Amino acid sequence: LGKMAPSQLKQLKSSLRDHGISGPSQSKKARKSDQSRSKKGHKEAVLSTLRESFNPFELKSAVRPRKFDVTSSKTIGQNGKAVVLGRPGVTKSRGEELRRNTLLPDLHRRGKVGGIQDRRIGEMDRTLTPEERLQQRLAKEATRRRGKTMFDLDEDEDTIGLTHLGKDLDDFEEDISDASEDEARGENDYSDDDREDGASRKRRWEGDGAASDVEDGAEPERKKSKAEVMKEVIAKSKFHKFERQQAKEEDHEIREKLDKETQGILALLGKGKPGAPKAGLPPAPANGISKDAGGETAAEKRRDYDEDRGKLLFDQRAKPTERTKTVEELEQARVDRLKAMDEERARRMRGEADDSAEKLKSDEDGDAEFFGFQSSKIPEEDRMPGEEQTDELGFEDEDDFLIEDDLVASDMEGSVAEYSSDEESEDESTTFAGDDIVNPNRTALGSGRKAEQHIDFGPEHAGSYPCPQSHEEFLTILEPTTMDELPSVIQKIRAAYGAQLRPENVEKLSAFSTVLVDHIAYLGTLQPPAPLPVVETVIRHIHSLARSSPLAVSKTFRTHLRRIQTTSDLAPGDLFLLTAISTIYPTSDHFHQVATPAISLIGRWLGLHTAKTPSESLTGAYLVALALRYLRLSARYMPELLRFSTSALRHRPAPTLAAAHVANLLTMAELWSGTPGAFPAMFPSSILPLLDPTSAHRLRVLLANARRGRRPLELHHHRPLAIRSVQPKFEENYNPDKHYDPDAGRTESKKLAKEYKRERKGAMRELRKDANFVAREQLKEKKAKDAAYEVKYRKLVAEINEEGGRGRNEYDRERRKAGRGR
Amino acid sequence: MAKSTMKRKRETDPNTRDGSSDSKAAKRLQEQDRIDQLAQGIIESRENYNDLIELLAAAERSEQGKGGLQRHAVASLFGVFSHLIESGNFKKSKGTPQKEVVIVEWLRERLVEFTEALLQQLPGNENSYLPVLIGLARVETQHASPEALWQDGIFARTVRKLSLSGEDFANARTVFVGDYIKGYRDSPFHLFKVARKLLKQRRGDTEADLLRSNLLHTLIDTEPVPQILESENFLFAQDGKRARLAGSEQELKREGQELWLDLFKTGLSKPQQKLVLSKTAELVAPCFSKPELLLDFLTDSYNTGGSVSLLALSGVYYLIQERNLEYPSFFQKLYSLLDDDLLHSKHRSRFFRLLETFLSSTHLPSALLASFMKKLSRLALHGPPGGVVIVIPLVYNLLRKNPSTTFMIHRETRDPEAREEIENEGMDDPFDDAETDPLDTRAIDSCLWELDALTTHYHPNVATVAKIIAQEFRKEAYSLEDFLDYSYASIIESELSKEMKNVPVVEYEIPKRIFTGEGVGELNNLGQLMNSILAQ
Repeated sequence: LGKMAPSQLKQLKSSLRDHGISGPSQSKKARKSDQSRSKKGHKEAVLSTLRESFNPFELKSAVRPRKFDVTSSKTIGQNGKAVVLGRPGVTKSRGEELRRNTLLPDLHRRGKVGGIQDRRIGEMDRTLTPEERLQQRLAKEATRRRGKTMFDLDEDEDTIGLTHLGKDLDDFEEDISDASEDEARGENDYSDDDREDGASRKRRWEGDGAASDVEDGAEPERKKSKAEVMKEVIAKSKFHKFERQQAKEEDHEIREKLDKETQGILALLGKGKPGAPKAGLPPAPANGISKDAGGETAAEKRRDYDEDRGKLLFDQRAKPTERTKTVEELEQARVDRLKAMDEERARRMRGEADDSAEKLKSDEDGDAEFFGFQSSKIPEEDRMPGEEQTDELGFEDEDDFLIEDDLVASDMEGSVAEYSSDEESEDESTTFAGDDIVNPNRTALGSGRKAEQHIDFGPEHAGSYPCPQSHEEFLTILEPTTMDELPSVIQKIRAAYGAQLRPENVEKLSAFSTVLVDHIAYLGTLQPPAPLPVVETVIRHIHSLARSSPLAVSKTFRTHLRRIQTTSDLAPGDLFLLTAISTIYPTSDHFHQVATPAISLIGRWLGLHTAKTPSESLTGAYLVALALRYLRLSARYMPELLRFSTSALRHRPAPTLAAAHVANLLTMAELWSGTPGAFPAMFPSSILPLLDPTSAHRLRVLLANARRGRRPLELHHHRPLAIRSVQPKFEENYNPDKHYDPDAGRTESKKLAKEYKRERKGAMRELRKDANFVAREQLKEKKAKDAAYEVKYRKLVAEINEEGGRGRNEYDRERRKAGRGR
Repeated sequence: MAKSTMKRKRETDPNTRDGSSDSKAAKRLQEQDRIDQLAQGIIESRENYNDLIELLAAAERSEQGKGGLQRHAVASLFGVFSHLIESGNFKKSKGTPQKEVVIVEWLRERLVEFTEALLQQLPGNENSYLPVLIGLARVETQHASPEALWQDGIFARTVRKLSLSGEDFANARTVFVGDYIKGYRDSPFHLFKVARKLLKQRRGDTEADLLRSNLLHTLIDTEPVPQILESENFLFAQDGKRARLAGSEQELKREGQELWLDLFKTGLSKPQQKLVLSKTAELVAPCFSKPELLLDFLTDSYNTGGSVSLLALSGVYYLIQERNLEYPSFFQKLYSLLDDDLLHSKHRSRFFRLLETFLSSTHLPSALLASFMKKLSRLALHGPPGGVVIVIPLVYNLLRKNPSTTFMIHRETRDPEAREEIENEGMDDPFDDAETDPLDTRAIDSCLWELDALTTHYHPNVATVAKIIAQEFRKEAYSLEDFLDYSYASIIESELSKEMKNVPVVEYEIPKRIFTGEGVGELNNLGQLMNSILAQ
């Protein structure tokens, strides 16, 4: 400790001597024994290591000395020596060199324009032999040519198959350019590379080699050679071409056959004019040519053909029709449709139909749009038949038409029923009924009636009714008619303004449907009251109309519901409305924009009224029956019904009314017997004395069933909730450098941010170094300039001095001469 | 001076107007002048005191429909009397000569006459005559003793008149309370005093009823004691030395307390009881420096049953909470309040707020909680939607807090024999509905089938709420407050106020029959019912 280390010079000398580079010259024998190892290389290597070890600034290593293997594993190599983290001198000089090659020419060229770039290969390079130069030129030429005609199959590549180390020379070229790119990445990379120790670098090289080996091993099968692949492709394409030609020939044959038969087909079509093929076929010019045999000129024929084709295109019969289905198929289709609809309904009942509702909505939106589009934009004569949309419309119409028929039939039944029950106008009714039965068709429907003068029943005259757009208009139309004619009036208006007749009829009918909704509310206010079959028919008409304009009808219903909401009592008209809602809308839906408010209103009435007066009791009985109709499919539970019916029975109503209430109660009991747990609580035994014996017996049976069906509730078969753990997750083989963030996006963004930061720092460092370099160079230049100037200056001064000296000498000489001469 | 100007007016008037209306207006002006003259005369000299009678007559004369003139007379009289009182003409002391005493007595009589006249004409003139009365009372207060004020002062007379009259004075009462009692520090005290005096007098039944009901409504409208004490407006006691008129805090509270107790003693009817109970916590109880005195009233009401009990509950709770009142078998009583009408009651939200507080106690036996839950579920089974949506979150919260009660919604029978028996024979509900002691109902052995049934409730929102019982109990607790204010109106309103977002689905099948039956001319049950409705 007390002794200082020897001086650098001494150390150097001793180490040189130790390595046998300097020192006393060896004996010849010894020198000979050393001959085996390559003397010069060995000496160089030794010298470089010595140089490194004596220049502590050439190598960069960790600042801290060795501490613990665990904590400082990276800074200590396997042999216990500090790991070299970088060679600042080397990197610096390389960077300098690179700059001198790239930046300096730029700097010099700054402010200068033009110039010639020498792209010749190896022209100025003396290191290349003439053969090498030629080879390089050839390679370059080959790449250029290949780039131009990459898909030139005729060229046989083998002719220029120059290879190097078993690799195609072209590939080799690419490698070279890659390498130069790598170099151009700059100093940053160098330092990165340098940070890795020699071992890892070597491993990478080996790895690369292995990888390429593997690729080579896997490839031979796939990479047959481009020529072979191309040959296969050509063969394939030739095969396909042949197939196409064959198909074309077949088509041609068929077409010729068809052309021959055209006359016959046209005759069948009733045209009697030759030369038009079936409209469905594409117009082929070949047709025109093939008919040259007929004797007309080609142009005429073409024109005839086009005319005929145009005609046939607009011919309704040209539309492809659906295959006539058998009765079984039709039945099956109907059943399928009903089943699908019922499934849809069941889904809505369970409240699952949110997405499908969306779908439906969009469908219907599309429909509405379609209708709007049709009514506003396309004039009727411009419409093209045979298009998809009309097809769709046709289907709709067909659907509607079916209902129409249905309705017509029921109209007659209704009127028959009504007339036979209504004895007010006996003579008329009998004749009418007779007529109806004998001649049940629309034109004959009104024959022999007094109202004939006002109502033309023929569809062609039905337009004499305007389509009412408001309830007042409708009332004025109805003024001359009797109540019993109402269904037929509606039928006439609907027939006259069918959606398929004029596009604007869609809107008209939609307005008419809202008028009808208003009308059923109005029917309730009439005195004497409207006959129920008539109301029923009106409701069914609304239902039919609601299918084409659901929004308008629903809005009107909701307006009425809002009106009912503000009143505390229900008029017969309101009851009609609620009844209509019960049939028109699917009341089993979990939520429905019209049906749910309606049943809530029923619930409110029943909940807030007790059956004190007979009229209340009666209205209540009706509402309970109606509510049960709402619930019959969904079998939902409605406490108000139970409460009202039992309280009504407790008030001891008239026998008929009591029977209605009892019937309601029993319906409820049947409906809700599916919930055995709560059933006895719903129907406590205190109800039993209120019922007649048979009903009481029925209820007792249901109660007994419920008792038998009752099981303890087991609602919570859920997976037990896990207790929240606050223990940290233990990671096996935890590496602090790795990220264990479970959020992939976050990891990604962090990575990106880090990379960005690194790149930014690198770029800034490079720029700074560039700037330093430029400054240095400029300084160097300036110094050189200054030095040159100085030299010049000195030279001039020296010259002048010399000249001056010479003059003075001369003068002195002359003076001396003169002096001497004197 | 005044006379001369008036004369000039009289002279000029006929020039500007003509006809009968002109003469009428002139006559009115003449009369007004006359009234002004008389008033001036009375103020000027004692000799004109007799003119008071004429003035009073003018003030009482209302039959001619000359409202303006009458009011003019009243205003003049107000001026005259204020002046007379202020100038000490109403005072008499021991040394006052007999003659003076007679005059003072006479003047007092006139003042009373005037007051009574004003009070009589109060309906319809509340906003013009009440200020006059109160103004006179204020003047009077400055020159008379408080005792006199409460005994038969103008204020006392006003209160008495208002309290003893019927419906026609209802408006006057509200104006009186609104303008002269509310927002003042002293007037409520006087009101209490006068009211107590009124209650002490003996009366006939109808009159007593009237008095009780009027006083009750007046008192309900007054502010609670703490608010009175905060107020800094004085109606009567304006200057500092009269501050004692306002009464100290203790005095005010004592008066209030005594007044309420006196009122309770008169025997309130049921609606009145409800009215008082609904205000107990905020209005009545703060008056009581000894709330124990309220106990009798509250327990009586609590034991009445029905909605009165519901309302008394908050008062009882107040006493339990604030005064450490021990109420024997409180929960049993509470349990008995769960009757069929509870969910239909107007006061249900009030009750459920309290019920949640009571049942949130951590020291209650599970059996008791189970009884409450089961009973509430039973009630919900027959309740309106608004009631159902209160019960379900409440039960949820209870189940969540008391895991031992969750057997009511999930009970797996482990014993194979028992299970087989249930499979074959079903089971009875062990819950005893008639049992009044919530500890003995065996509800803990039962299941909440009722809530399960409510998941199929017709109203979608209620059904959705009911489903929380069967779902995993992830939520700590539902805030009951959010569920308290649903009613038919609000439910329907929320459905109808929303715009239709998508097109409603229409039933695909058009039914063949709605009202008609199978046969020709037949009607189904709906049709028959409808026919009989239409026939009415």
